[in-house]
Amino acid sequence: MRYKLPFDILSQTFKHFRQCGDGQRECQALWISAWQGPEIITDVIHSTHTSHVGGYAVDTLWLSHLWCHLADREKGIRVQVHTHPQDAFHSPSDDAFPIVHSPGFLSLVIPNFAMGSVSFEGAYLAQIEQDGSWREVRCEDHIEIT
Amino acid sequence: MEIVIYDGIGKPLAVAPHERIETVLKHAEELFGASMTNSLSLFTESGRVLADDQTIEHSGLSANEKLFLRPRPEKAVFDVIIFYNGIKKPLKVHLHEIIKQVLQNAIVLFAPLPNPHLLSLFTEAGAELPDNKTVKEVGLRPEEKLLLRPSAVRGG
Repeated sequence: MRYKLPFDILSQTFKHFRQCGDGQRECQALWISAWQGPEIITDVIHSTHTSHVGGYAVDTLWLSHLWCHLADREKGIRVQVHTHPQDAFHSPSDDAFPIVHSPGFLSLVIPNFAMGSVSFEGAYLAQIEQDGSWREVRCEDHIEIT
Repeated sequence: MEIVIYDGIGKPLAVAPHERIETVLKHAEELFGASMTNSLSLFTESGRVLADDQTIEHSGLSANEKLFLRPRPEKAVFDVIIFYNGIKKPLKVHLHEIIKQVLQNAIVLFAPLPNPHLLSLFTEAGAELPDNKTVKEVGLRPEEKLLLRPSAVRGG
């Protein structure tokens, strides 16, 4: 599936990363859409997490609240997005502990703590395969900024 | 007409033929000072449990019938609702089924889910259900909402 991502949501996502991470810590956000129209991203949710210069961990109680929130609104997580201090890539813990485990789920990594331009420049996008492994895919093939 | 309710001793209770069993049960609990915990049912002398939504008449009760207040029988099989990434699906569970099996069945509901060992079941309040306990031991109830989600989400 190729998701349509309003530029405003991308911009809000970078704003969260810069405010929360302050150019010093990683940060994570989630792109959400309705199950009735999954291709159009409608929301960005800034996760509650702890973080440091080289990683983040989502709060487990917050995750349970999120699960209920999504079910109540019939929405699902399509892309998890997080920052890296420098280059963007998928680390072993990114591979092992995603928020959604379904094949086709996307994980986007933004370089330089998202302090650069509001775009996919230098970003790394990975997708879960049928066997649970991750494969790098091209941003433009899976996400269209609208 | 009058029936007789037993809870150790017998006490008479006036009822109408069109009265629902749930109302009679409420009056019977009041008669014996039992708390309204929805944990009691009315049984006939032969051991038949009376359905709450039936009337006295439809339950085939007659005047001076003896009814007994006893703990409500547990349903052995019932549905819980599994949540995964915004989707809800019902899953049948058995009181004596272990949570590990319930988890496996929940994962099948949302297949394919590679790396299922990273997923667990949580209550709506966020408590993780222990794999080695039974449905009865963890106190699951019909229509209870369970979250199928990763135990940990992190990255680096």
